[in-house]
Amino acid sequence: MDTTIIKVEHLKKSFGKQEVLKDVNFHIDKGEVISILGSSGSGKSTLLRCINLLENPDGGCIYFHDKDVKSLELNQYRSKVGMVFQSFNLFDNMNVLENCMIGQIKVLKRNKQEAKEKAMLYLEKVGMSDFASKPSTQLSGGQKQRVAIARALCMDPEVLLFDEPTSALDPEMVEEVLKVIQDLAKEGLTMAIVTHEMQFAKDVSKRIIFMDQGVIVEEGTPEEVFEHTKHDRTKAFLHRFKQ
Amino acid sequence: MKKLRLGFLCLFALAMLVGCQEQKARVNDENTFVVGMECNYTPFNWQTMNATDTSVSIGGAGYCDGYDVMIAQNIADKLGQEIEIKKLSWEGLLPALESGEIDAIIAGMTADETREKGIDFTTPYYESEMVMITRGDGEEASYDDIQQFGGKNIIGQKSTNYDTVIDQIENVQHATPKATYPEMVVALQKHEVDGITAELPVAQGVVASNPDLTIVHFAEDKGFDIDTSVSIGLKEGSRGAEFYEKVQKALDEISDEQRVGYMESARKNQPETGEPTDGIAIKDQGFFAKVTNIAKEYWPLFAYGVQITLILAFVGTLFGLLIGLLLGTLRSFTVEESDSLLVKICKKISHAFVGFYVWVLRGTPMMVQAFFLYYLLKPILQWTPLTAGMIIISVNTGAYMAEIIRSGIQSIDKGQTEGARSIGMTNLQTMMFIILPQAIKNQLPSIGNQLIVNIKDSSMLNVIGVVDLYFQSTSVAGSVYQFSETFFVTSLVYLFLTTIATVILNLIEKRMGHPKTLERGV
Repeated sequence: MDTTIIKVEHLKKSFGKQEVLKDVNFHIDKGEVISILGSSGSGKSTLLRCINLLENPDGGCIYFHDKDVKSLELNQYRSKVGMVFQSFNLFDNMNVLENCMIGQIKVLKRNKQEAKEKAMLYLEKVGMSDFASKPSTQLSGGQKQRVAIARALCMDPEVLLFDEPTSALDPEMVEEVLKVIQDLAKEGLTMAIVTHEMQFAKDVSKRIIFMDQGVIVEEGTPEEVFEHTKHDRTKAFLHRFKQ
Repeated sequence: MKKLRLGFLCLFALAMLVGCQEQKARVNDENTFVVGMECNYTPFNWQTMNATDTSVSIGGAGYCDGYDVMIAQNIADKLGQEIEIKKLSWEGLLPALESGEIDAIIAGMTADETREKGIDFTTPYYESEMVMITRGDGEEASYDDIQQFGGKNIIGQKSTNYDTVIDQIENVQHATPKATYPEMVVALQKHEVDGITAELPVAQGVVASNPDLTIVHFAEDKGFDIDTSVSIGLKEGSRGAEFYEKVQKALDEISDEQRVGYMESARKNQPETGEPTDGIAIKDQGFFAKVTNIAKEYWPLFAYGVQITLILAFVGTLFGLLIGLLLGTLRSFTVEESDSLLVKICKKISHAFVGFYVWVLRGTPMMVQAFFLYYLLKPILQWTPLTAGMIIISVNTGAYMAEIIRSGIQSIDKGQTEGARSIGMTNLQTMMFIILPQAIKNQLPSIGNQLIVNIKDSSMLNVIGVVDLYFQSTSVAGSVYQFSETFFVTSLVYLFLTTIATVILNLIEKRMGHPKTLERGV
């Protein structure tokens, strides 16, 4: 039986009067890859941001290894739950290597040598080791996102959250990023991915979650969700994409 | 970064060194008789590069000489104390006396009712005659009654009796007073005014340097009704005390003959009345010849002023930046729902504090701040004008820097913070390693601009007696009575300094990469 890393219960979040998450229950088990689908405004990104506590939930509970995250030290918790953003959010004042080292040194208190070795290991993995000394501002979108993934991996997270990692990329760069995520999936890394790449979600995921209007509408294996769709809202959504 | 740190350390060490030197030179102990004067009121007191038998050193700023200096030296000798001259602006004399920074004012000051309220004066140490300086070729040159100046435009020195007496002339056009004689001389030469009220020795000094001007003496009972004697000012409430009596006694012992001798010697030694070394009389020299002469003769005074101006500008900008970094950062931490009550209160208090700091220090002139803080804190801190100047300019710059840093922080994309927080960096770490480096880089043009501003605005600190480039220039102008020529040199020096600073700043900017937004200019 897989151990549950993240468990979300009755999660609620509103921005002003708009209720973005109404009552969300879900969990992420060790070693599984979950894709979260849904039209924009359905609350998928907010869900990920709540898990990382970039947004403060208004109600409900989030558990990390059965411990309420409110009882955990916020920054320690965050270092264990990696996040990859749509807009990359690389540190503009640093080069590629420094981007991957700063968190290790300041948060995990690793020494420079150790941090550098780890950074180079993961940069190699995402195919960016040749760019180690380049300023992060001089990279293409796809390169930036690959570095952002390496940066997150350097923290040895137990789970990695991807918030639409390819949505801000030019079409020709989408592949290189998806390839990296696929490789990570093969290695058994635990991941939750918000994405609009249907084929990719189908190939990489163990489980698919479909969200609409702040709730999880449908959940199951890729086959269940894509081939034997139960809910009309999911059908309508998938239909739009097939066209 | 390491180089920056090293440079910073060097500057700090330099600042301390200069501060200490000043400290040593300005200890006001019982063995020194500290006298305040402008060093800018020939023939009573002026500043020069050349030591004479009667001059007294005022540190790196050269020497002070004149009638007042001779009187002060004489009294110090009789008191058995070392003489020390403190160069202060006219407005700075009274606060300095009150705060105990100086023991006496010997600055050609006339005792009158208003001043008597804040100063205890001795008996006069010089009596002269009230005259009018006019253009030599005008009809005014032949007047002998003050009433003949009715309808004319007359000017007098600001905050002195020479300004108030002008109203004794019926129907006079009373011009707005100016601070120094050199300024008024220019106004007269440019036909802005038709006459300057003055004491005879001062008028003689002016005319000696400006042969196109002349002195109008008034007939008996047709002159101004004014006390033209000058007295030594001592601390209010000291009359009858031992020190006052000692000074008065020492003054009484200076005979009339001695006083006349002193004035003759002062008139003889005063700058620019003698023949210049190259044998050309001043009146025959053109503007640029005069400028060159001033630059040649007085360059050590300018150089000393430049040194102080640069120290003030660099120290002020660097420490101001540090203050700004602290305050701007404090101001940028937003109150969040998730904060504990204590954190919320701390943040709100710091916001209020920063808001107040910026409001007050940006909303009042630095000159006023300097005046206020220096004399308010003088009794507690015992600081020298230069130390005070460095602190005041830093504190003042800090207010501007806080706003520059705050807007710099605001200009950084929110994603940078989220990226840092998502890998577990604390608020403080995020600020120090991610946000501030970018904010500083983006705001480099504005930060550099503050350095340029400080090079110029440090001149305001002359009100507390910081001997910077501007203050030195007024001294030179006051000594040679050539206002335009002197300040032409001063302008060139300032322009040179700001140009060098601009070049250096451009180099730094280039090295650190261009700021993200191009429109943010200086």
